[in-house]
Amino acid sequence: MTRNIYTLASPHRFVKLSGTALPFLSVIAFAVLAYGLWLVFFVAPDDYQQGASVKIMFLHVPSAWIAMSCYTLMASAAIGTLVFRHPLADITAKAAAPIGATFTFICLTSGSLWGKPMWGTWWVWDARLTSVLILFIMYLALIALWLAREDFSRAARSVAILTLAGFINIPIIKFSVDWWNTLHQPASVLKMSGPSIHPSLLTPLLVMALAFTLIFIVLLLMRMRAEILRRRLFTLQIKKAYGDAA
Amino acid sequence: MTELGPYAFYILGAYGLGALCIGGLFAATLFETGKIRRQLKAFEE
Repeated sequence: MTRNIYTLASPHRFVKLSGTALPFLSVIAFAVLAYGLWLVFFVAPDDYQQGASVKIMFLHVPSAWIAMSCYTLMASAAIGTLVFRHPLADITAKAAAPIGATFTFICLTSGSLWGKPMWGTWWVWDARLTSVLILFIMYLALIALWLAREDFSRAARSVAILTLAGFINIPIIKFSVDWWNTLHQPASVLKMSGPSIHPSLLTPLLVMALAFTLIFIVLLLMRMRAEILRRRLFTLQIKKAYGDAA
Repeated sequence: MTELGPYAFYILGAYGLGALCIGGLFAATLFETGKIRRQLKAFEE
C-alpha cells in the first residue's frame, strides 16, 4: 500500500497525471469563478446594515480560508519532508508558499478596503488582523529561506522546521476572535452551531470559495510542475559539469 | 448589476487588486515554466 502511494506520487508520474488534469481543472476553475462573480454582482442582495460593501466579503473570506488552508497543507508537507522524506513533499511546500502569500495579501488588502467604509479605518492592531499579518510575514520568510539556500534538501529541512514552528499561528488566527475582544466580527460560517449567514449570501460565498480552491489547485499543480522541471535541469547541469570535468 | 453606490471605489478596488494578484501569479508561473522549458530544450539539444 505504502509502496503504491510512493509509486503514484513519484515526480515522473506526477508530471504525467497533472499534465492531463490541468487543462480540465483550469476550465472548471474559471467557469466556477465566472458563475461566482455573476452571483456576487447580479444576484446576491445587499446587506441590511452594510449595504453593497458586503460584496467584498465574497473575496475576503475565501482568500482568508485559502491562506490558512495553504499553510496547513505546507505544514503537512513539512511532516512529509522530515518524517517520510517523500519526494513531492518539499516540492509541494516550495510551490505553495508564493500562492499562500498572494492569497494572504488579497485577504489583508480586501479586509482593509472593507474596513475603511465600515469601521472608519484602514487598519487596527486587532488580534485577528495582526495574526493574519504575521501569517503573511511567515510566508515571506519561508520564500526568502527557499531562495537563500542553494542545496534543495538542506533548504527543504530548514523550511520544514520553520513551517512547523509557524503553524502555531493558524489556531491563533482561527480563535483570535473568541479569545480576545476584537473589532473583527466572530466566525459566521465555520462554527459548531452552523452558519449564521442568510442562504442568499451563503450560496455565492460557497461558490466563490470553491472557485478559489480550484484556482489554488491549478496554481499549485502548475508551480509544482515548474519546480520538478527546474530540478531536472539542475541535475542535468550538474551531470554535464561533472562529465566535462572528467 | 446591483448598485454599488458610495462603496464602488472599495469594492472595485478590492476585486481589481485581487484580479491583479492572481493574474500576476498565473503570468509569473507561466513565464517561469516557459523559461525553464526553453533552457531544458536547449540543454537536451
